[in-house]
Amino acid sequence: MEIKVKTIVGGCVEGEVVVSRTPISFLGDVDLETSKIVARDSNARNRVIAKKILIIPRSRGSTVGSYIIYALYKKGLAPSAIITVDPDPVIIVGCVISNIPLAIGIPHKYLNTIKSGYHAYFDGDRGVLIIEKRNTHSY
Amino acid sequence: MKIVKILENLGVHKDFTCTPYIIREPRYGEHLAWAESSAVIYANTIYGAKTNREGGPLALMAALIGKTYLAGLHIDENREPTLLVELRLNKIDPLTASLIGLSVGRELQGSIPYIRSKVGLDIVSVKALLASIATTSNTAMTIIEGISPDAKKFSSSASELEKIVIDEKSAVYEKNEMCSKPDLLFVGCPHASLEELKLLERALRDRRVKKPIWVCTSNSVLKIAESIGLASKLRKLGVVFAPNICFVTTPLRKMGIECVVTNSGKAMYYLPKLAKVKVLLASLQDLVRMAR
Repeated sequence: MEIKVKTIVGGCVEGEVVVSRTPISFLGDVDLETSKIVARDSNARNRVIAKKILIIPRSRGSTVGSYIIYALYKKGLAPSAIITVDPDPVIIVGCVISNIPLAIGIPHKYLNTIKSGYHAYFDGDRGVLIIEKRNTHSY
Repeated sequence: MKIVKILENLGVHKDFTCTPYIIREPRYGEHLAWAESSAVIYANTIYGAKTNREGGPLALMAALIGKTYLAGLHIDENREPTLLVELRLNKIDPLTASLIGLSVGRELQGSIPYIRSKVGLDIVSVKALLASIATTSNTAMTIIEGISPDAKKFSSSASELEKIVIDEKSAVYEKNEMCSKPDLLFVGCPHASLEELKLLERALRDRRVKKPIWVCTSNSVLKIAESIGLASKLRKLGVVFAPNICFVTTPLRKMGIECVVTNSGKAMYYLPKLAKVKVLLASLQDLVRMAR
């Protein structure tokens, strides 16, 4: 499955996806020590976002989120790429200062069809997200 | 302190608060680049100023050059309501407003709500409502009937919008992180306004409390409270001021605090996650009672 997205911060990455249908406040909803999503209302609760392609509708809450994305990056715990439905200033700035590949404009319906654990490629040059319906780890 | 020094050298006003609109009120139609979700939603909703919900670094960069990007809420057609939120509660006090705000925020999904309330909303309740909405959503603006400057423009068209109804059932606590024996009682999330200090004074009824009630507020509000004798009166009754400080981002657990009582839904949302403490939510009156 190939999905057209709009690249904001370029780069090409491959890896496992984490999908939260609920928006995420990087301050509070993500544990800074482990990069686990701790929001109780998120379907991706307890999933680690470090080195994953994170797909979310948008952020919510704190505008400190930009700094938290940067802090995660400094700790080596940042997502390898972030894909959102809506443009979100807090995420855009966090990704720009941390050089994390970012795309916006993934249609909302994919938040229901793409499952955490699927394997994906994000090609920032072409502005596409390619989803493979296999898990990254075969165990 | 190093950061404070650098900011001072840049010419930053040294008042560290989440309620900058109290220090310098935004003007109608003014373009701003603000961070702090509760201040952003307040500036757009109450003053009709125009700001997106910016992250801290961008707000700082915009301040350096005195410009921001022309998109989002800087453009008038993006400032129209897209959803009608009807508050069908018979009574809305600040605590209720704080709680329903969290529920409203969860429903919004990026939309701009036109908020119509069956009963009138006082300004302290509005502040609590907006802070909570901004906690559980990315919504940077609402239009409140009878309060927002542009509300009249949309009052008839809003009735045609998709509608969500909020009633007493939406004022729910997140029970599983509650506690019963408070180590710390605090008000002022977002930072207490002068009106909130007056409400606290009224709730204290000239009787000194046994346990201190901590108040987070801005230097500016504290100065006004000092000048009218309110601050010294509150101190005599057992209030301790923590100006320019945020308890939510303070490592309270490491300081030996396990259970915090607050009247703020926003604080209830963030405290367990950031300060790693349990929370008991109470109205201002109940909070004072617990301090006795």
